[in-house]
Amino acid sequence: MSHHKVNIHDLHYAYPDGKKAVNGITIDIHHGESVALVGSNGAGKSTLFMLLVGIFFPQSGEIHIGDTPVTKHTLPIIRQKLGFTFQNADDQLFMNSVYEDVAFGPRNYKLDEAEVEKRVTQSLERVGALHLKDRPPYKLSGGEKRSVSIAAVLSIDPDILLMDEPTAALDPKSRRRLIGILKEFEHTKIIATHDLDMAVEVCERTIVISEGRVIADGRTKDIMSDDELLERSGLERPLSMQKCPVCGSDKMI
Amino acid sequence: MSNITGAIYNIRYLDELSQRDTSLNRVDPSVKLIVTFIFIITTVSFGKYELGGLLPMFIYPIACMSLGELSYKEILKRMLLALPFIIGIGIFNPFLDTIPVVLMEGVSLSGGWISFFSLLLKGILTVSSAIILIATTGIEDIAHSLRKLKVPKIFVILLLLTYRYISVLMEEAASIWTAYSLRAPGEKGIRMEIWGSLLGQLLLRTYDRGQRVYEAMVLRGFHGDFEMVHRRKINTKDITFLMVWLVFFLLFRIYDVPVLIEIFLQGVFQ
Repeated sequence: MSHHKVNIHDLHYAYPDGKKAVNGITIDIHHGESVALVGSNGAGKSTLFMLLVGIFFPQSGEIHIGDTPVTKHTLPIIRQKLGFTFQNADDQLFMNSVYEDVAFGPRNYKLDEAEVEKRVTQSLERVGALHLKDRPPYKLSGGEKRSVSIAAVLSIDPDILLMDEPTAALDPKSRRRLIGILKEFEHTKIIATHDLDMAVEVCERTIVISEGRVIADGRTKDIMSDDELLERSGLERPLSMQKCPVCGSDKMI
Repeated sequence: MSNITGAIYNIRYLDELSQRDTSLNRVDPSVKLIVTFIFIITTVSFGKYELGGLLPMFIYPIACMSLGELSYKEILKRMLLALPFIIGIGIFNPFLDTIPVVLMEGVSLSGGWISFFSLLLKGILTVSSAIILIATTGIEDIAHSLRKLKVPKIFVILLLLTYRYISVLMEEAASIWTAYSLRAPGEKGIRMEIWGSLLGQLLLRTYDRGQRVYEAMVLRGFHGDFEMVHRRKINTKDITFLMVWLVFFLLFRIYDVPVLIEIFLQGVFQ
């Protein structure tokens, strides 16, 4: 089994208009890790994701997914290993029914129909959305769309999950449910988010990005309690780690 | 604009219809595609003064609407959208072609009016047959059938993505319209000087969104072919459907059925 790791080495990327989005990022993510990618708006998180999945190609530097380098040539292999959920689930769901949408990936990989059905059912069950399978995606609620968009990438059986703002625009209950689902996944996960409380719960490791550079990389709890660092990178302590506003006592260790 | 939102609903409505299970939905997509294609060819092959010959062709859309359990009203509404274009093409015929043509004893009309009406009928027939095809087959199955019939991949993808992006375009248009009207109360339409930037915005936004949708497809292994589920064999029902309509079209094309009926009725009453 190839290891589900991600190695990024000295990555540089500038947009065609000259804006430098990624300025020498080096990250190694190991098999089975859950990593939160945090940083202010425009720090380069989404660009980094685009580079990982090979929608953009870096001007210099290298990315390896498992043991495969990300090049134009290896894209089909890379994309089968990576499950990428978009920030906006609407962009990801385009078929006429939830079932068709989740089946879209496996069918493109030419699996036979029995296997496709098995995968669709399993993926939908995994996110608790099997009852939605015949509904048209555009009629679902935000939380349901999110679950289905996750099922749609699970169905291609990826090794590594990349998620761009999975909890954005979810109501508290849907968010709680999603956190539960994410915790259950044993995949290697990279989650770009502003929801630091979710990061504390789901990810043991956090990487802070600012102006296209990694400015901190360590245990989530250490990073989330470093006020100076958080301030510098446009973030603040997660609510769960702030002192109680009423009595002033610490809520967490 | 309520009609933009309504229009989105309309497009989706056809998609939803195509998911149902009616006798027409069950006919093999390729067969439906071929029949529709031949129907359109036959319809447009009528001469410009052959108004009478076109009338029996209406049997096809009417029969299909009842086989596909489609509501006449809904199909008619969608067909009306194409009507202005047809009228636009034919509207000058009555002025350019003024030679009278005798319709029946004592009734004559200028050739221009007749060719205008026959253009109108042809338009209604061809557009409604295309709408019926989409409403009972679904765009994915149509695309798949086109591929089976060896239509080049690039055309099929263009067709599919165009169809897919119509709804993307309209959703963006609807949200721009909402944003505009909320901040410009009491205006009936959009002010002239705003149109430029508004349309520019729409184009850019749609372009971006289309790009993201395409990326989402590529990331899930899309490589230009839509893989379809309904890999079914053509059965005898499909063949019958095909044959019956082919014979009908051929008969209607060769014989002027209304004239035959007239002759027959004259025979009965004499």
